[in-house]
Amino acid sequence: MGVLAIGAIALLIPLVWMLAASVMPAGQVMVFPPVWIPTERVQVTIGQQEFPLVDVPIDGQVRRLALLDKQKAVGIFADPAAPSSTYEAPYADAVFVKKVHFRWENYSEALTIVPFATYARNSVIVTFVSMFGTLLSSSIVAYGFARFRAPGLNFLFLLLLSTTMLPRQVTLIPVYLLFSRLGWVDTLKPLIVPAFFANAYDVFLLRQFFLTIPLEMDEAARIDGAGTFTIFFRILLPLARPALAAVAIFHFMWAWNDFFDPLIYLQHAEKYTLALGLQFFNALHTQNTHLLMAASVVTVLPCVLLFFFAQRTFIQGIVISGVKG
Amino acid sequence: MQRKGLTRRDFLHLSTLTIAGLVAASCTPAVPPAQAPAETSGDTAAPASGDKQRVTIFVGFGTGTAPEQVKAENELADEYNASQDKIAVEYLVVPYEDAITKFTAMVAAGTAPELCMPIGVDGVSWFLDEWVDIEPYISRDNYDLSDFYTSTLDLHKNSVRNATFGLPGTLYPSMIYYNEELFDAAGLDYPPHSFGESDWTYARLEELALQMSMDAAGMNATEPTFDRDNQVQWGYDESCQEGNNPRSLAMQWGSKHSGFSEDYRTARLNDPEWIDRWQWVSDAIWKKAIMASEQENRTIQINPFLTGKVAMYFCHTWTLGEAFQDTEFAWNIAAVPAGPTGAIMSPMSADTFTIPSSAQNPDAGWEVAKWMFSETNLPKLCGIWNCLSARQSGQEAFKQMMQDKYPRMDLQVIFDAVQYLDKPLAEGWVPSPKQVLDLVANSVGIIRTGDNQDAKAVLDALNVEVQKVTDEYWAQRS
Amino acid sequence: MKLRPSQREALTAYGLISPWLVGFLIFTLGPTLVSLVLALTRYSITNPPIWVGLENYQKIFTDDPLFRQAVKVTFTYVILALPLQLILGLLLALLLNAQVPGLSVWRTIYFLPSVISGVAVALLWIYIFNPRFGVLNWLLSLVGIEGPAWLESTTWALPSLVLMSVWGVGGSMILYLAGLQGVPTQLYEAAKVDGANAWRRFWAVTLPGISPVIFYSLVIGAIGAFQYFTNAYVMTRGGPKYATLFYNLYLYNNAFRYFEMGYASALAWILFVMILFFTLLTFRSSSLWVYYEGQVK
Repeated sequence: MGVLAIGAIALLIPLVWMLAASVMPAGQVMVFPPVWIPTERVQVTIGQQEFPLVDVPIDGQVRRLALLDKQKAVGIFADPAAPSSTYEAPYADAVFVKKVHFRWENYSEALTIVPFATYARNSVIVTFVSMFGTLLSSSIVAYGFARFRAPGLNFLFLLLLSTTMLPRQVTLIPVYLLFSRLGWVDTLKPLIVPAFFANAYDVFLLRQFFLTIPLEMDEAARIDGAGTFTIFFRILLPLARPALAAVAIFHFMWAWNDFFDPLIYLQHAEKYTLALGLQFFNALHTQNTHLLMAASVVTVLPCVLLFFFAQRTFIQGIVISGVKG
Repeated sequence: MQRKGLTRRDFLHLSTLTIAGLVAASCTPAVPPAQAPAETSGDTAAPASGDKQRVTIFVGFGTGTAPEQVKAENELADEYNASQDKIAVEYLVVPYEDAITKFTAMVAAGTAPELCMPIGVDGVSWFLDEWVDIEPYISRDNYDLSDFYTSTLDLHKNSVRNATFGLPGTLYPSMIYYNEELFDAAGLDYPPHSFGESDWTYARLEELALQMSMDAAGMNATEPTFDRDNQVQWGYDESCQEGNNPRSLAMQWGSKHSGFSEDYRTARLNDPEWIDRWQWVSDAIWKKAIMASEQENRTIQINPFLTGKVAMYFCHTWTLGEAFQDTEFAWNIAAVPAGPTGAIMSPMSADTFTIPSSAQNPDAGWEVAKWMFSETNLPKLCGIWNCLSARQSGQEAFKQMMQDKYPRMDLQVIFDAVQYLDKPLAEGWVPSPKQVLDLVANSVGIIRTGDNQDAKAVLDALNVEVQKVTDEYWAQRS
Repeated sequence: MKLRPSQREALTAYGLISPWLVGFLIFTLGPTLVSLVLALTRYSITNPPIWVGLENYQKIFTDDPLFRQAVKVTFTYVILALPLQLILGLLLALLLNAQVPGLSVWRTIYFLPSVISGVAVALLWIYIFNPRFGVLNWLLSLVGIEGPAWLESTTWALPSLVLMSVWGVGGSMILYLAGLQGVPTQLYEAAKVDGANAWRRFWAVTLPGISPVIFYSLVIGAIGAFQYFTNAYVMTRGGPKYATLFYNLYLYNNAFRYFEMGYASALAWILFVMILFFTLLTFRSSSLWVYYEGQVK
């Protein structure tokens, strides 16, 4: 427990900072040392105008006064209760009074300055449809690789794996050309359709899991007259539930966070996904880091929730004993 | 689970159908996006109707991609679309980190946008062979150039292709930002605001900077007990130029070129002016402690305006954007000091538009560019991008915009700085621009990390590397 | 027509893998071949490709010091980061597969870092590694150690990125957690009856049971590590002094900074061969240490 707690604290520091930054004014995000609790200067109203409140030593005594003006190195101060008499003191000696202030409006600003709801809708469509496609196609393909013998199958498996080994930077342009010729650019299709054709990472993973399931189970079912697909859906898939959960989690995270494919294939803001939309908060010369953090927090939440519930599948013993029993 | 229905046979049929369908799909003739009806359903949509030419404006090679900027740009597009019925304009906004990837993919697929805007001098140089020469348009339309600052007319000319790629658009001159509070605390006078004052030299800047470089105990760099290892404040910072515009520095020391001979075939990065200027950088960091090293720079560079740990910061006007507004410190701007030979130079960064030669409707692109860079609209663009218009008639609008934001700032410094821009532009084209930039940046890094503090050794090595890249470039081009 | 059982089996296999095969033919094969051909050209993207034969490969092997630097950086990273990830991920999964109070909360916490991605993470780590004000050197100073300059040091920049990769170890934890569920509980019970202690049970039951997952993590982890890119691109850009010039970063620079798409393609195929070689080696070794309960013989 002790080890777990120390590790957890180390891992949580970043998240805490992210949360803190999401409720900061822009000016406090990028400073050193990092600010953990957002503050703002306390202002007082004198007459119609607002002035910052400072602690400043006057005649050897620290007083809390309003800073009215600054002329070169000299500050002009006044007591807000009796503003008519002013004091002069070195400006550098004045310490601004600050109070803790969480800028919750960062969230409303971040969610309205970009069409957040539209982005979220697109992200949900892309993520869930492609997740369904990946789970379905990858598990079927993995079944083929794990449970059957055929000439050349080993070579094909290696071919499948090798698709992950060529850096995508060099296939990017031909792939774009292909989707452009298909008329798929500026649609969600390039983000969804390929998922229905399985991918090496998930096929390999599921194959590994299918290979741990004893063959006797298939054979017993086959003797009972079960066909290829019955064995797949009735025996292998339920037994591989933890692996399917892992694939679902990985794919969800990947699709939800991927901004590169949407960036390359989408042209109109009404088709953008959240991950792509977030990129715009980090523009040249105008970094809205505080808004970026607020939007990031909102974007990360679904992933966290999904994981929290999905990890229940990883509870030891249930799967095997449930079937054997 | 009732999946009896799907047999192996069905599955094979299904697969065959899928193949057939996709093969059929891939064989249908390509649909060029220019003719494809826009399936837009959003608010900014201006679908190209049958006879309208579509002009896509690519934003991403510089500023203009922040959410509030995108909004304003779309409004401008709507205004244009409403003003005539021949051309339909729409914006394509790409985050700048990945704009090159997207743009090259579009060019390779034959679906290049009609305009890239804004695009900087450096951005123009990356794709030297891609842009349409606009000289023929200018002479055909008798385009009136008299309103532009004369010093800016050649900004987007290229001598190797003997062509002009864009009109002077928006300007980002540089000057010395200074933190009044640090000057006040040190009891020093502020630096002069007008260019060319006789005592405003780099030697004087050094003296000021020494007194405002402080350690944690409050000792400044002139004092014997100054603890360099615990420095918390620096008198001067030019990381903005070293990072963005490193080839401009030697021009302050009198160099007449930005690292190359006039025909761009000989690298001249180890000329005496270069060595002296870079040695000044090295000494300023490692001997005088008035500038932060690479290691220390991370602490202040992210935004010196917010940290307040820098007294004088040499940078372009683009920092007048959002981040600057949030500062809690009193900043103002001063002139760039003269170098040891008396040369005064304020490195210029400038944005324009370009027309990719593989675009569908380059002529329509020119029409839109003219409208955008007109006397009425260029100031509007400048309002969105936070910059100075290259049209002199735009000065008033700029003044008003900036005065509202920064009532205490002396804006005349910015207008004056335009006259002292670097010639040739240090951001401008050189053979294999990014390769050279990477090599130069690596050498800057060597000095700034202290790996080698001898500028001559660093620049001699650099010059050999750059010459090699240059020779390769010309060998391939011929 | 009557098919023999082995033919039927083969047909079924081909049918089942056909979704991938079709996708491969449509989306992957063409672009892959294109890049293979482009590797034999000089292609600046905005100009048409020019045939140069094997010139790119020749230059890479004989006249490109940055290529050698990139290979060195990448191999170092693989050797340092991959075992760390494999071992720490497994340890974490074993810890979080036990009956710990608040299990789902612990798991979520450890998984969190792998969820957050992009700019936010890069900014954060720049803060953590900051030599003067960063959290890391502050922690080290508490135990009397003066920390290095991390990302700004030619010696420490690469180890910094390795350290950072450990932060995302929650990803491999999930795999092992999923793998641990497949180890039949009755095997543990049988081992207990035979008097095996916890350590013995781990070696005799747990490890063989999850060896297919370890194998997966090794292969996929290596493929990922060889192609490490994003954090180097965002945080160090290959510096200082090429200390973090990862292979893929150098490749990217050639493709999209220097517009040497042909050269980049040649680089890509060299990396491809290196990864393929490593993968084949791993596969060859697998019969010695990976145990499959249900392998078709």
